[in-house]
Amino acid sequence: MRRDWKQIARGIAPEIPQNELEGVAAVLQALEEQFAPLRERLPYETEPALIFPCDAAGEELV
Amino acid sequence: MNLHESAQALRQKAVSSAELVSESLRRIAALDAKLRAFITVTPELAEEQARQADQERAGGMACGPLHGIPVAVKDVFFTRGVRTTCGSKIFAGYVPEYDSAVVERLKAAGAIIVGKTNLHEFAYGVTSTNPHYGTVRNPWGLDRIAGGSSGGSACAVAAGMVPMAMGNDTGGSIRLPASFCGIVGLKPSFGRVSRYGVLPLDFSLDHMGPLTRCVRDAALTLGVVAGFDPRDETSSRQPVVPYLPAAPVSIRGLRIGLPENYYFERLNPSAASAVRGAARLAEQAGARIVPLQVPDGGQLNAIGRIILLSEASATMERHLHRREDFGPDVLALLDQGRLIPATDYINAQRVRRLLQQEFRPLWKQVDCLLTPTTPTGAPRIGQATIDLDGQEEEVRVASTRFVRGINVLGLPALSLPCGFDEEGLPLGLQIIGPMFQEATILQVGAALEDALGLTHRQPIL
Repeated sequence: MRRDWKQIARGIAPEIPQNELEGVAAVLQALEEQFAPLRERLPYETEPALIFPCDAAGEELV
Repeated sequence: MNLHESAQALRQKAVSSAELVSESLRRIAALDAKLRAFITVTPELAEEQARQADQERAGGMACGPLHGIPVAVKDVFFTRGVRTTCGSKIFAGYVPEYDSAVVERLKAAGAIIVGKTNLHEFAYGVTSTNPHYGTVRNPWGLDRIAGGSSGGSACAVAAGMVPMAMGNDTGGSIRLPASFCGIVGLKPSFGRVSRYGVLPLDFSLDHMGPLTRCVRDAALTLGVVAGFDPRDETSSRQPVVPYLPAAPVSIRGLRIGLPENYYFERLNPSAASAVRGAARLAEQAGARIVPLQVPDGGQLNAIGRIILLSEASATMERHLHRREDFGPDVLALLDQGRLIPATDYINAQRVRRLLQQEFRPLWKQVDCLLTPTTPTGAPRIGQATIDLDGQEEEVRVASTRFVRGINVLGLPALSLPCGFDEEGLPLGLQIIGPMFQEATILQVGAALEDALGLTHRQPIL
């Protein structure tokens, strides 16, 4: 699914000026082309590399 | 004098701390108007601390490894009572009430901080062309960038203003300026050096480390700043080991991987040749060079960029109503990060785990990897693109191509000078090791540094 970066930008504040949006969208489109194939091959069970530090949270609760 | 030479001269009473600090401040005063390596210099504080250090030494007090030696820290490390701008207008007036963990440890080891070094705004870029505090210039060519984001730290060390300056590295920000400025830069493993008291750019990619004139000075500094810190949730309890390579250093029997893919594609032939020359020297010293295929660095870079764009924008979003107070390049990156969907960020972190798993078996074949640090010598100030093999790349993307992915993996990596390009600009090689094997990459680095014999070459200023 191809992302429409300019459409996404319309929903954020503070807004990105129109004259700067062209460049921002072009960079993100190029990055998306590299990332999309990687995203597609992800096995469902793969967890993110970042995890909640449950040890530290546990220590605080004691 | 480098760190080791300074420490030895102080021990032998050949020089006083007051003299070392005075010489450091004199050199900063003489050169910094053109180099712009510093944002803040603290001469009175440093001179007072030097007098105290000399008294302590004369009184027979046990001295730390950096006792009485002038050093600098990048202006992202919080310093109690001394402003910390992060290279930005947003933090121009910020005076922290506490020291970062790194500054605490440097002070405890006796170091004297003479000032805070200039950087790319918010440590978010590779040029150190700072719109608020001036452009850091490369001591090897004043029309060249020093690299970034720790450009001021690299410049200050290369120009002989201080023997060591601390930097931080989110996508190459220690190794890249070290390479461009012809010095040594060490990015330790993620979790090895506390991030407490440093303005975060990216929670999962930021690393703290030293920039020095030689590998042994980097090892000495790592021994001072490494260690568990409960105030940093990602700080590791892995024990701190001796990092200083044995004298004489030996790499006999070590297996050094030389990638056949990715790291020797699209680069200046002189950079490739300098690294291959260093590999031959390693082989002559008894190491075994292992040609091998490595997981795709391009995938690591794409993941690294998505994570960095997302996390940096999450940190900085609260300031984005002040658009006019950001430089245009940093503002563009922050805008890009705001548009990335949360699903992409999470999936990038999932792919990151897969790529970590793909990389891990490599360490059964080799003890470390040898690659170029950057594909070229330092680009010109204001240069937007680099042409390599007929393909034009943005300076930021090209310069970080061999370094950014290593932050995604959290691995330790060292850059040291390995030669010069056809224009006389320094070139760096990168030694990458398994997690927490800093001692191995420092050992290999010290052996190559000895064999290459380049440390005597200094820029003429």
